[in-house]
Amino acid sequence: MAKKEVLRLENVSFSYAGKKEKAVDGTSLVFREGEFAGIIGAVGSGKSTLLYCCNGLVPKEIRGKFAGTVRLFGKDVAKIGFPEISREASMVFQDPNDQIFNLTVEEEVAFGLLNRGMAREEALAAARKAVARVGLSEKLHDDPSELSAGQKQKVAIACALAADSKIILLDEPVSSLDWRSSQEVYAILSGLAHEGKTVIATEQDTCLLSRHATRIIVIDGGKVVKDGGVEVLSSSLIEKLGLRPPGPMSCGARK
Amino acid sequence: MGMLGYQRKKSIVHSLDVRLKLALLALFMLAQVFAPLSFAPLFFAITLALYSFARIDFLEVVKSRKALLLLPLIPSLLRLLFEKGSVAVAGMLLPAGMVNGTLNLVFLCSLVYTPLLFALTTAPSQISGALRFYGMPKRWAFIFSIAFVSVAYIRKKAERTLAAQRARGCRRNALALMLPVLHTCFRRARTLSLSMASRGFDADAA
Ligand SMILES: Nc1ncnc2c1ncn2[C@@H]1O[C@H](COP(=O)(O)OP(=O)(O)OP(=O)(O)O)[C@@H](O)[C@H]1O
Ligand SMILES: [Mg+2]
Repeated sequence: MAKKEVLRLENVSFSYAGKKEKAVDGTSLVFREGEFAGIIGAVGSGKSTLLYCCNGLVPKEIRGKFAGTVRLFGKDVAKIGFPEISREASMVFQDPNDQIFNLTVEEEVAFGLLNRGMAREEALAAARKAVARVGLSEKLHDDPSELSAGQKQKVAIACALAADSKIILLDEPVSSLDWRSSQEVYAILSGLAHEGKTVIATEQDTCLLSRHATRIIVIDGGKVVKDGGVEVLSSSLIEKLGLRPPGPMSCGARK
Repeated sequence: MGMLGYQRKKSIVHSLDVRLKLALLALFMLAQVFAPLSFAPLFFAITLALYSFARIDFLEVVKSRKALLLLPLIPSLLRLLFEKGSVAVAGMLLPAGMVNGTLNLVFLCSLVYTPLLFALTTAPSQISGALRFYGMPKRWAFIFSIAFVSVAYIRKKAERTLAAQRARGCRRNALALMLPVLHTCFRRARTLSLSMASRGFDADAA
């Protein structure tokens, strides 16, 4: 039985202002509850841009030529505002330095909840829970700008966890993390997918995806060139695009 | 030390209500600007006292921000060198350049280091609240407090860029430093605003 549909892209195309070539080119995708989708592709293939389309950052905040429709739980993203979108989909950016601006980890994580008008105490309690989930409880009152790169990324992920949205979008969430922390983060994300959330992550690391993802979407030149299960990672296409296939040596067994 | 150096400590100055602190700062600054130059040592003494109330080592603050010292130093030096004539101090006739140059230095020092003390003792997250209390629109109050937070970030970035350039054998070069730093600042500002939007921040909501 098909799971409930949460996000639908219909013929979405986008080119950045002042650029001719399309960063996203005629993409149609449907995402369902409990799915852990990995978006993979070479540098500059349009992974981040596709992700930005999913929660309306493109074209609401990032200008350019946009065509197509994005539906979040059936609602046209173009017609609803971010306060509403952010309840359904939260996003983790590639460089946590660019998204962290509060003075304590706790406040950073509570920020999104406070924007929703949640009472301060309640928001801080939810923040503490999310921070505990990424294993940073002892840093709760620290200045996040002084954490290590990996810890900052965990804070950014805690922000998304605290939001408790049905969809979590992540742009190369572990690019600054070591192998151990990457595994931890992916295990957390995997757990969220099991709870019925939809996780959509762009990722270079095919090993991580082969272990945790349930679906692989391959992007080339803004187009979806392959969409299937993890077996896609072992196809010749991956190497042809200049990506590293998940070798059995470096990845270990799938859990 | 982060955030323009916000130092979390327990002191009267830290725990003062931010709105009151902001108002007192404004009054103190106005008083300094409009009082005669001969009052400068008095104001400077107050500034030093405030630092000690805040349990912040004034000399340490000056030492760790040497560039900031140029602000009072340069105009005072000019005055010391170029002001002609003489003035009577306690019955003695002294060169006006020397007297006024010194007073000027003291005056500018308290003018620069009092607002810095405000920054050192106030959490940026509280500043936007205080600014809004005095009627600043939410959008501007937020921009202001984020700019505040970003100073530390910019400083770190500048240090890193300098180190990277030294490693490549570059000498100190203002342009070569400014360009990457500016670039990162714009990128940060951009992503920050995207990230805030995607977290449901509505700058125009009350
Ligand atoms: N802000 C921007 N302005 C103009 N063009 C952009 C902008 N951001 C990305 N592009 C262009 O859009 C295309 C897709 O970029 P995108 O960042 O989505 O790729 P990506 O797959 O995420 O790459 P990476 O793996 O390096 O993160 C690229 O050709 C890039 O040059
Ligand atoms: Mg990208």
